[in-house]
Amino acid sequence: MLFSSITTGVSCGAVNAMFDSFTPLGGLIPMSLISLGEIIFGGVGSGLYGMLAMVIIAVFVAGLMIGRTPEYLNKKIEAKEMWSSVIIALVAGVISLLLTTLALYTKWGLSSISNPGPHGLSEVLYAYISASNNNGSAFAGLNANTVFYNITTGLAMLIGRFVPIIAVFYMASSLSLKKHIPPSPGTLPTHTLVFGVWLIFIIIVVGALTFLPAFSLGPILEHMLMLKGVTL
Amino acid sequence: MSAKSFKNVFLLFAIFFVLLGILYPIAVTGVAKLIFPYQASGSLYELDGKIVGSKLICQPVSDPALFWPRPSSTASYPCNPLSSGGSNVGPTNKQLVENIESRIKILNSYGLEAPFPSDMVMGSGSGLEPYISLENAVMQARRVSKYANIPYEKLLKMIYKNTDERTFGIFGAKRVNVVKLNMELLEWKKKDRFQKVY
Repeated sequence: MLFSSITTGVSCGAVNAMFDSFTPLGGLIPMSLISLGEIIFGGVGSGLYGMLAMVIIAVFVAGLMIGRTPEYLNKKIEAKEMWSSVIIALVAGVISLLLTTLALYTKWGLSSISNPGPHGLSEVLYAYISASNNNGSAFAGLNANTVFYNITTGLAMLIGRFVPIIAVFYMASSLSLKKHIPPSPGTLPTHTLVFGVWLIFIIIVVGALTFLPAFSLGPILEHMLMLKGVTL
Repeated sequence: MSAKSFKNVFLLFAIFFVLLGILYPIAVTGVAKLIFPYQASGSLYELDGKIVGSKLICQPVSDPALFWPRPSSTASYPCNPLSSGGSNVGPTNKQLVENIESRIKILNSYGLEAPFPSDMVMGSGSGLEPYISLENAVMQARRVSKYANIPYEKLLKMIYKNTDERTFGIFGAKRVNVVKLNMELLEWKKKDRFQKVY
């Protein structure tokens, strides 16, 4: 369980247990760690930017709520930065949910599922979340080596990886052109414990709003069935 | 892109191809063969001059006179090293219950009664697990002693000798390598027969 959490907290994907055989909540942990964007340690080769996008969103939301100018590392956060950080935070989630829906509507998508009931949904959802966030671990009961899954997970990889990278470059160029402004009394300090807690809160809210409906039909529903002793 | 940068890119590619694609693997393989010859060639076991198994891969043993590894769901046959993988059956799948019940039935037919240690009826993620828990081995010892005609106490001694402690004292459980244990059992039987004849 420790290794599963670490391997999905970064974009590693090596496993020492089969996630498909985990209890529903056990499978939910790796799934949610990936779907938050593997931002805990940063992804291999992409590093910190997932977390930085979250920081910028947190700065902006906090700035709106308490009326401070949104600044981070002495640079003003404006429309361009917000656009790109929202894209970074949302693209992988949106594409994996869209493709999951597509898979559930077609017989090519459904025929690869090996476990009945909500666990089958978890398998499909995990496949796209893992592909679009560059992880590589899987609920391996899903037979992903079909034309349909090869094409759609490939699509998830292309969009889920390259669109955020382009957005990061866009944000970097925009920030680098901005003037360095010294901190003023109106600046929101971003090195405090309060901001850290706020950042965690923002990450959970963004992740939960994106994935909670899907998770509640997959692992959470299965957990309730399991507690009732239902087998399908 | 200018011709010069093309040349540079190609040169870099060629250098790294030779360095990382050829020289590095050769160097690592060579060093491994020199320093860890046994591990580098697969931790293999020999019996009567023939290679019969690896310390790291379980074997599909169904002989009641030997210790059994954990159940394995690899494709084609159990413990198939060419297709490592678990059953991928979820906890709400009826299949899981059926699998475990059929394994319990087999154990019951050899006179073993519940409660069983979980690794006796549940497969591993890789399907190639060579280790079983100490409780599992001790439980199997009764059956092995009956069918292999080896005293129970002798088997227990063999098991405790082959027990590995928890990793770093905290991770996992006390465990016994089934392949190693079976090898020792076979070796001992051979010697024993030898002593009886002469």
